Amino acid sequence: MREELTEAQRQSLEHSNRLAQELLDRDWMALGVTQEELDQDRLETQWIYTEMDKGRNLEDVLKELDEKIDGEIADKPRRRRTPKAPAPVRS
Amino acid sequence: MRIENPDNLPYFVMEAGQRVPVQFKTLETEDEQRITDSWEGSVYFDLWQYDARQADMHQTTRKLMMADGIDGSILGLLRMGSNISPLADAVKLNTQSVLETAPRSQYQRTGREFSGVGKVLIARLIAESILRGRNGALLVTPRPQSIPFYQHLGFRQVRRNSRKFGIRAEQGNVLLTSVLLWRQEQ
Repeated sequence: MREELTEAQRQSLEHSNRLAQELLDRDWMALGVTQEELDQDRLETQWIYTEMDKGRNLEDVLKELDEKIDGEIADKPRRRRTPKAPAPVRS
Repeated sequence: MRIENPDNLPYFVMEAGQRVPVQFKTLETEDEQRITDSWEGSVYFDLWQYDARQADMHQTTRKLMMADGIDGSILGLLRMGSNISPLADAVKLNTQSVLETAPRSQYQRTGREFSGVGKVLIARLIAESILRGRNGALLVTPRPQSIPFYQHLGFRQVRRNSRKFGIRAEQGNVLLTSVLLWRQEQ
């Protein structure tokens, strides 16, 4: 069930959400996590809950997510490693 | 477990070894002053102040207080995300739930006044999960500093290097039952 929102309600919710996300993300970003990765986390969480709302249990949904991510990693072209230069020999 | 309103369950926290009944209530405008007075130094201080000041946010934010109503202090705050709040969902913002224990009762703080406040806040989300047909399973993306608290409650990292932690339905139900006064003593 969706409620009809007034413009004022929408603005309050948006502002509150911005504050919450800034505070939630701050510490992860300090550890080097990017905004894009954090946004991707939120999308993943939303997808998991949508699947659970279809009647699936958490374990099954996470298993599917694992398989998806593993598949994406396997599909990525592997970068060729540049061989390391030999260490200089001390004379 | 059958739940009609997660706010009305008989939750309790511990104070000096005694069980103290607590209750979730809707945030009110007057709470802004309470938050200013006793929540300084909290991680989400600005958010709680804003949510108290804005009447529109009162529907999505709950305060945890002692059920006897004598002490008016706020023990914990919980802002419900889009996966459980119809209002937040309506904006399609993909908001996650945010919760925090009052600074004087935080996890692992020496000499804390109440213990188990954070656990009750999580239990409230688990009750919501049951109400919404998710059977008590719950996902969280905690701040790095809060990860030990969630692990202590039984949350497990959903995959290696993930920032998400989850609790399965069975464990979620056990956690919820452990903070309800009708629990059968072992």
